[in-house]
Amino acid sequence: MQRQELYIVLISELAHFVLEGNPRKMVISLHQEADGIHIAIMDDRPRTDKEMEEIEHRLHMQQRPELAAYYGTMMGHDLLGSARLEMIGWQVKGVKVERIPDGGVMINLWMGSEGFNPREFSLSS
Amino acid sequence: MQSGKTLRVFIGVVIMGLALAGAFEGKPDSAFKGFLQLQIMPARLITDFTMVMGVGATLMNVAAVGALGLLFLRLTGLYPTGASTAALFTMMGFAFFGKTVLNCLPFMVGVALSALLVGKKPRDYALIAMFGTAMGPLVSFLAFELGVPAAWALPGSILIGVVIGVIMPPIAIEMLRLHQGYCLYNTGLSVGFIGLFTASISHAAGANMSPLLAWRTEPAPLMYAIVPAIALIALGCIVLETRGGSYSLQKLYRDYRSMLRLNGRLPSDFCDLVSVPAALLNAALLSMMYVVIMLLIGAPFNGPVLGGLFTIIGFSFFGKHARNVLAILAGIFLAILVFGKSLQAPGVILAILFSTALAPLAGEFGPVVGIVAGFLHLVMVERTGGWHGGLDLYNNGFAGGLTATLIISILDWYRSNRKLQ
Repeated sequence: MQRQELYIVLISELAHFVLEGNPRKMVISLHQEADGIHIAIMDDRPRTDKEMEEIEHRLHMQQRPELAAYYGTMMGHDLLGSARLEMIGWQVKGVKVERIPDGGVMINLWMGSEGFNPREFSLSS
Repeated sequence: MQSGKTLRVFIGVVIMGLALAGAFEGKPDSAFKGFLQLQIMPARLITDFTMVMGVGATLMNVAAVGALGLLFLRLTGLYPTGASTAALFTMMGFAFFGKTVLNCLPFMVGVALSALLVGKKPRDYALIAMFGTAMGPLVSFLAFELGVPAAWALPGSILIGVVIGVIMPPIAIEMLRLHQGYCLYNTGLSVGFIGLFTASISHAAGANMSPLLAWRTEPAPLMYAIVPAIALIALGCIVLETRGGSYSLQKLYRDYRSMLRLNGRLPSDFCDLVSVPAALLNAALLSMMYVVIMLLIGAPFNGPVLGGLFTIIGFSFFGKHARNVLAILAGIFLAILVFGKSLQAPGVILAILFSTALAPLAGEFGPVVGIVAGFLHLVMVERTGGWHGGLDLYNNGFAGGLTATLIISILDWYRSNRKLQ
């Protein structure tokens, strides 16, 4: 998959997830470097502790190349059922899920090549 | 005990148990000779290996195919998870009636080569390679059914198997988009699609593609004991998991209940999404539920029926549970009643077992869609076997994939076009 195509389907699946919650606002940010990216998505929908826990759990799947290369190809394409964050979780190198002052959630994702270290690369830095 | 280790213990004990049961069912040397004979036999649908070569030889074949799958996982650097457990049990299940070590290998090699061809690692397509062994009968058909001299037929069939393995990943990936993950046996649809072409070419070349039917009805006590024994092993593994106190029975109950709320759409790895003990409990309960159904309808516990039950055990880790299979089952029985089908017919018995591939439709869209899916599946599956000449062992996956595609197309169109909400 071409890199740009991967970003499109990743953003599509993330947006699918956030829009399922019917928020009033949604903001998506993409920061691109030579060997990696940082995507952040924010909404204004308040979520319970259980919901936050579930988002974390689904995104914190370990890297699963056998699932990502096969079933992961459905990511961002099929919008009929509910969004599947685990398909994103298999492919990313770093995840941070946090509440934001507006009451919504901010999901940070880092993706990159083998040598990419998400700790050295974030929106704030 | 660590959950990954528990799964390895479960699979290891099952494979070892099957090998020992196979060896000591009769005389070990005759079982081994039978196992070797199975490698060079026609294997198209429906060839019940327990009928043609006996229970002992078949169980050895099942254990050998399971060991091959496990070795493949190890060589590709993967470990047993929910998805790979589904693939392993599917491989073993179909080794009761079609898969052999010899006819699985070319496809696994071909899929691994396909990964290398596009700059990926073989592990990336490991699941396609393992599920893709459904095409095994093609190798056996070309090598041992056509009557071509062995010096040409065997290398030729292996080469063709490798080539088909190479083209399998793009087809399997594309087929996923058709039903959007609502048919659990996606490779069945993919292999059925390839089978249409291979059967047509074979037919055009003058090959006899008439269906085979070897279906054992003579009871074999050992065959009745296998699935309950696996259910007991699964429960034993749960006990191991809870022994240290880190995993309680209350948590098991909570996990199992939360699993029942999942729709099961591909890829729902219950070991990741819930927990390994809950998936083991699901495997024990669901497989025993289907054992009871088979006993109630008076089905013979032969190779294909055991194959269906093994596939249910495998997919209890990867999409199926007692809640999402019920509506599909109701749809199948409704079609049996409406069309006056016999509950003893091989096609009907296999449809009852394998229609569970459509469980995610009921899980996501509710019982009405599930009943419609089960109903359509039964009428489809009786036709599709002839289309590929029995070369696709996952004929129910092929029919299920077509059924899911039809239903998803309509639901997707309705959802996309109705007034905005």
